[in-house]
Amino acid sequence: MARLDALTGNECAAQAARLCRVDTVVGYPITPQSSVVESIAAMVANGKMSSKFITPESEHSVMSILKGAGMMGERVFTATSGQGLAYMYEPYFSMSTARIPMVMALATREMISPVTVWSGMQDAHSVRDAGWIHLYAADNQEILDSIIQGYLIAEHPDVIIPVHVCYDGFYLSHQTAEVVVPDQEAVDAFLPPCALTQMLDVNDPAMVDSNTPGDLMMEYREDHLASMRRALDVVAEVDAAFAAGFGRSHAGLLETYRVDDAEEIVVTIGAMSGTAKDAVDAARAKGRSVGLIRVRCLRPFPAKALGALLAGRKAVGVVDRSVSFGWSAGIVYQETLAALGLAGIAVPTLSAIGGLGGADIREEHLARVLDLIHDCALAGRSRQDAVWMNHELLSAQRR
Amino acid sequence: MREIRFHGKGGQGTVQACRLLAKVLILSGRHAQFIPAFGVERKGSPVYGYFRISDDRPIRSNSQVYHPDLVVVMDDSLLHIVDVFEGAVNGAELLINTKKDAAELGIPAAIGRIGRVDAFGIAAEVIGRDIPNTTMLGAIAAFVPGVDAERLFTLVGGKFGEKNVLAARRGFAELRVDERATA
Repeated sequence: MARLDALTGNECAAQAARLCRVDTVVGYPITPQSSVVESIAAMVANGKMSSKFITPESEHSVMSILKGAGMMGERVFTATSGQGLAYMYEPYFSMSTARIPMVMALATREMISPVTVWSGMQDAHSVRDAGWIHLYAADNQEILDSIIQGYLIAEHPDVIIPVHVCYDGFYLSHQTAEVVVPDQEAVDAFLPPCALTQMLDVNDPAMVDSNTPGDLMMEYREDHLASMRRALDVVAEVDAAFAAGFGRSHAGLLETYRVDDAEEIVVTIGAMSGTAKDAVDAARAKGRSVGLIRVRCLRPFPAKALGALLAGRKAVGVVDRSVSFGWSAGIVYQETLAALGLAGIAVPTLSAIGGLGGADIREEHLARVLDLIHDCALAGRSRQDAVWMNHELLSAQRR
Repeated sequence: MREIRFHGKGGQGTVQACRLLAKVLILSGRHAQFIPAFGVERKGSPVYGYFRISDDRPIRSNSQVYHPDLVVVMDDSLLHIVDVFEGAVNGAELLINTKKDAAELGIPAAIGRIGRVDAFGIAAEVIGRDIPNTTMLGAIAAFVPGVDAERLFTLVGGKFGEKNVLAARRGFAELRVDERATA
């Protein structure tokens, strides 16, 4: 029987790794993910998890060891955050481009400087073009479920790409919430044993991943992008299969909330989405025609699906927990603009930025963003400069 | 939906207490959520716990609590350091670890019901350390309707051992409640 429990987001990630029967976990502690690998270390020590558990001297070595284990055909797992992700960037990139499937949990953290250990999505968003699939969870249950889904996606023969399951540092990583922990038999029925190709064989020595000329490199990249396109279907299919097996869906690529008749849309990502639904309900109660779209899958980006959902709206605002330096806007906002452009949709837009370095995204902030989206709709014009949510709330209160 | 804000100091076990309380509530079939906020992670610095309880629908907000209807203070010396009453709704309740009388604490008029327990004294006596968290958990079970005290004692025993169960039972029994009318 599935078990109801009270778990942190990090404990959910650890439980998911256990349920997926990963062969090897390689861990290095970094705030705010440390309790993921600590929980796994405890489960391995207590005999509740049979994985190998390796603790090298740095995140660069973590991902390098995982790459070797993955090349041996193993199912592998780790978790990291912020500076740890930055330190593993080189093998992170080659993990995806060598097409070694795995799942990594990322408790998101603002990048320094100034020094911070707190929440922000700059770390995860900064590697969005490093070839991995990026799923963003909105609550603790989704962290657990997305990691289970992640192995099925990553190891799917049409995909063979590693999956990054990202969730808000502290706001989810350290949040205790109600979670249903599925039983092992149900996960085994959903996720078959790892059957990845073993690339390395000591009895048949061969060089793998040798220096590659441009013509062949072009083919590799083309193939990777084709697999990314197929992953759009696979992410949605796997979530549908998960819903059939476990009775819970996490909306596949994009979650929609009260969008059917909505003239105005707010686009969100991660944990702020729950708070934003409360803000949408409050705005609806005041007669505002507004709905919410949450981006669950940032890579591959579901541009077509998002464009279709945004067609015919009067204004679209995007709330980011990151900045795109030089664009003076958030990163998911840029992605949304691209989707609108591809779909040939001209609609007033707005970029809102909040929650950097652990700053809270409050319902009042989001209510103010909904007001500003409404202003864009009335004016029929996009807002040129990003809305800094902390300032906007203060200035709205002064008025 | 109840919105509760916990105030403690690093090292007093506030986070562990909140996690355990969430588990008690969730296993009793209620919706509960706890989000901690640390300043610098070191002993003695203020710690905040944002806690929601809902009976009708799952909790969606992932933000901090700004308008608590219950403030829990793990150490009355925090009254001089942090504005623990900031944003509290009119008629909000206070549960505080203190030896003092309510009248000595300078509690604002907006606060209605006040629960007091000498958690340092009880913990020092029973556990041999003045760590207030499990005594305060017992007091919470007596102060907040719908907290299953027996389940709480069982989970405290599993997590912290029998001395802490005794501390929690003393906190439950020795809670003093002052009812105050608010505007």
